[in-house]
Amino acid sequence: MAYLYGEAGAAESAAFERHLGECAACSGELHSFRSVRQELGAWQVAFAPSVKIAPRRGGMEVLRELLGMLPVWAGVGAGAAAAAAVLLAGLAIAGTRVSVGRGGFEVNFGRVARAPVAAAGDERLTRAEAEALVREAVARAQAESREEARRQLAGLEARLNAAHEARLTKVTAQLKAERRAVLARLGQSQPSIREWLFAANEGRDYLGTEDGKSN
Amino acid sequence: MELSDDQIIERTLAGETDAFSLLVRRWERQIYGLSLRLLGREEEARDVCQETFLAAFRNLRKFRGEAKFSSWLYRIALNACHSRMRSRAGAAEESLDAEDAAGRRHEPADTGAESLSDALHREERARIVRRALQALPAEMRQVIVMKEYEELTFAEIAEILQLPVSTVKSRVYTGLQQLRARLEHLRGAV
Repeated sequence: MAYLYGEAGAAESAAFERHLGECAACSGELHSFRSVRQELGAWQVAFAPSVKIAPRRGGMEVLRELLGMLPVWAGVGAGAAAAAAVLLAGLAIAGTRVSVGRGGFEVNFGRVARAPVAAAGDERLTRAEAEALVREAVARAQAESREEARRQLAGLEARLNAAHEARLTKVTAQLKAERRAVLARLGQSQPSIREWLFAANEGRDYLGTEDGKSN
Repeated sequence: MELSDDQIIERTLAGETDAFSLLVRRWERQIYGLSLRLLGREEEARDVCQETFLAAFRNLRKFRGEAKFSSWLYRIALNACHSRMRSRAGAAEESLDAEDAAGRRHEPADTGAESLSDALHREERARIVRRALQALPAEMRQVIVMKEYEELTFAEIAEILQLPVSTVKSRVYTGLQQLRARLEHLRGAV
């Protein structure tokens, strides 16, 4: 193994090479392992790392952005807006996170980077480059935040629609039940339309009773 | 002069938390490559990378410097990979088949300087290798990946896995034998 991977010392390599000259089995195995290694090289992983500085936004900034969306949220009430504000503020004050995407990792430390660490000369950022990076990161963070808010809104709308639908169904069922009850009562008394109108004009209910109860 | 890993760790621990970005940039490619080749799925590999660097950052004070930082980082990544492999409960093979059926690839074909047929051939070879590797038992797959793709020495792998060098060599040997058989089988099937 050490010889195959070039980790054998000079003496060990020389001894093994002498052995290879005499042993067809070892020679064949070495050759086949080299072929396997060559074949393994076919699977190359494409990955272009690029660390980006993404400053975390303050709670007020997040809140301002959220308030900017209030016309959209207004219809669903202040409670929803408050819940979203709490959620986003929570995200804003959450601890350090490392995220990764196709472009590489993104490390969020909760604030704009201070002076860049003195790394290799070619890695040191100029002020303009750093500002550009920060601007880019801020724009990305804002876009992500908007997208998150849109998702929250869509979820809330769906829940409200479902609740509305349920209430509508309930009210419809109640109305139908009342209608059935009325029809049943009408079947017993069979008052004329003229009598209903007369009763209505006198302040009584349409069944012609004083208290709304059927006779 | 480029800072060493230890120097960056010192700065990070001294309060320059942004310095940690340098370590991420330095090691993310290796950690991602290791995770992808062990797990076979891009999304999981990205998650493992995220978990690895986050765990490293949070536990940086526990890093004593007795081993190399990279060894420590690899160990965290391997633990995360093993945890995911255990939770899959042996479903890797099926999922890879499904992935292949959907035509997904782990790396985009760079067809800039080669013909379409060459690119397809290369893609096919990569797919065969990926399947052969995924079919290996995890203990062999990890040493093969570390040796072949991460180009670590036997001693480094032994340090990461906390195993004797002889055990690592033995696993690489058996792994190569099994790979040879699986590659032949898969090529025959194609």
